[in-house]
Amino acid sequence: MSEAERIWVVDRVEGGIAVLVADDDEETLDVPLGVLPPGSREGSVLRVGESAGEPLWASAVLDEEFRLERLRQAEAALDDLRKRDPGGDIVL
Amino acid sequence: MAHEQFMRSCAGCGVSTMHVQQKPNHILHLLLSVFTIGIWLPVWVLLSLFRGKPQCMTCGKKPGLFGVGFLFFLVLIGAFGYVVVAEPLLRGPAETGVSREMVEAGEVAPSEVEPLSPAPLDQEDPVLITFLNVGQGDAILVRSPEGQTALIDSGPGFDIIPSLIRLGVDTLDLVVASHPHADHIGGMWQVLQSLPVRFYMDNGQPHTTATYRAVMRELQSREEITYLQATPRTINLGSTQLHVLPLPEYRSSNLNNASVGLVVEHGSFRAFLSGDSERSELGHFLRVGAVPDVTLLKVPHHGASDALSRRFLDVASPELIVISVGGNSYGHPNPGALFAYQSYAEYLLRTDLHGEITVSGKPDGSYEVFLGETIVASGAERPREGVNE
Repeated sequence: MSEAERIWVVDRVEGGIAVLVADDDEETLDVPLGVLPPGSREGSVLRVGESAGEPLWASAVLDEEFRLERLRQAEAALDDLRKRDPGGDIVL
Repeated sequence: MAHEQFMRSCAGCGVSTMHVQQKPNHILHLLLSVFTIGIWLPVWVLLSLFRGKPQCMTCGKKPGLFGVGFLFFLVLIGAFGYVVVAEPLLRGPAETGVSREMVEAGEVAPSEVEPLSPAPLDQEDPVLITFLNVGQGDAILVRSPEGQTALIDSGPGFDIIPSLIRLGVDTLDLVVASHPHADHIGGMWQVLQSLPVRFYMDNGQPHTTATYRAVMRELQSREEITYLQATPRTINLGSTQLHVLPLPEYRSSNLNNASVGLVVEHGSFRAFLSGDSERSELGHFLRVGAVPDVTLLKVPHHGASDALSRRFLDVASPELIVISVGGNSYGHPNPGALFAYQSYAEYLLRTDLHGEITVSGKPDGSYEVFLGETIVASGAERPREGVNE
């Protein structure tokens, strides 16, 4: 039985290793892709149970809705920032 | 001017008649002197000293020195007219250039910087490209001879601010996030927090990590930072040019293959920097003809086997190769890739073995490689046509 839940996001996959970033403190962790739920890939949002402060990868669940919501928020932020782009070449 | 009246003997009339003599209006002169910032002062003094002879009001006689003041007044008006009207017309239209200081002072919007011209190239002045030793990740500082700075990636969270300060950086004119993986933007939030940043460029691709979201929040709240999307364009960093290469049109599920590609050009010296491009994106750069013959190549993706493209190396033909890499469990750099890079280039340096690496590239194409103060490699001049020629 897990004590708590923590959100981890797959930052990237290097070979067979998933590099995860914790949502709360940006801790990074390398985990074999094989221990994560099938379908895990770059950008996946995982809800992972913990026991004694250690992630229980077997309990990890993909939260696809959360991933899509984050992508929508990021797109909106990018659209907002693009309005600042003067376009063309720049002389600094 | 006021007049003083009194009776006195007139030589013309032969009798005592009413005379008039000019009396300076000192309040008026004081005001004129103040208004003209002292230019009127000599007129005031002259008129006070030489008030003119008394004028007989019967036979008449014009005051002596009125003309001096009037003439000086005409000269003053003429000079004022020249300065305000004629001189600007002779000089031609006002310059539309916007200085860096004006932008920083908020006097003009950043979007108005385009009318400025790139700085002229001095054959002796090198561009400095420093690969910071940030472990497994990238952080590359480009410094133009004129002192402009560009930071390409910010490492994996390693605190690069002391290194930047040690290198004399107090402002970053441009920050580029090649792609939003944590080993490239891990230190970005801290960079944005710690140093003034004028322009920020990324590949326009969203990500879902907390690291990326923190950077986006910071950018959104910092309205003084001008965001640039990585579209084909040239960023003139003083006399050094950063050519932004076209990104692939397809959206890859692997953000490595949407890395911002940059060719740093300083006369005949060129460097190719493209984040973590794998063979797929390198192939795209080749297809669109965006890979020039270069002096320096920053090996993409920390020397991983998926970023080794012999076709790319044939075209780029680098003399000097740098791998930004640290301790990792991903097998970077790949031994086979290392062997291939060594066979292509004259020099291969690695941040994990050599620490911080600075390449000084001159406009004639020659270069020197510094580890600290020590020159460990150099190359002769190599004339080239410009990237856009």
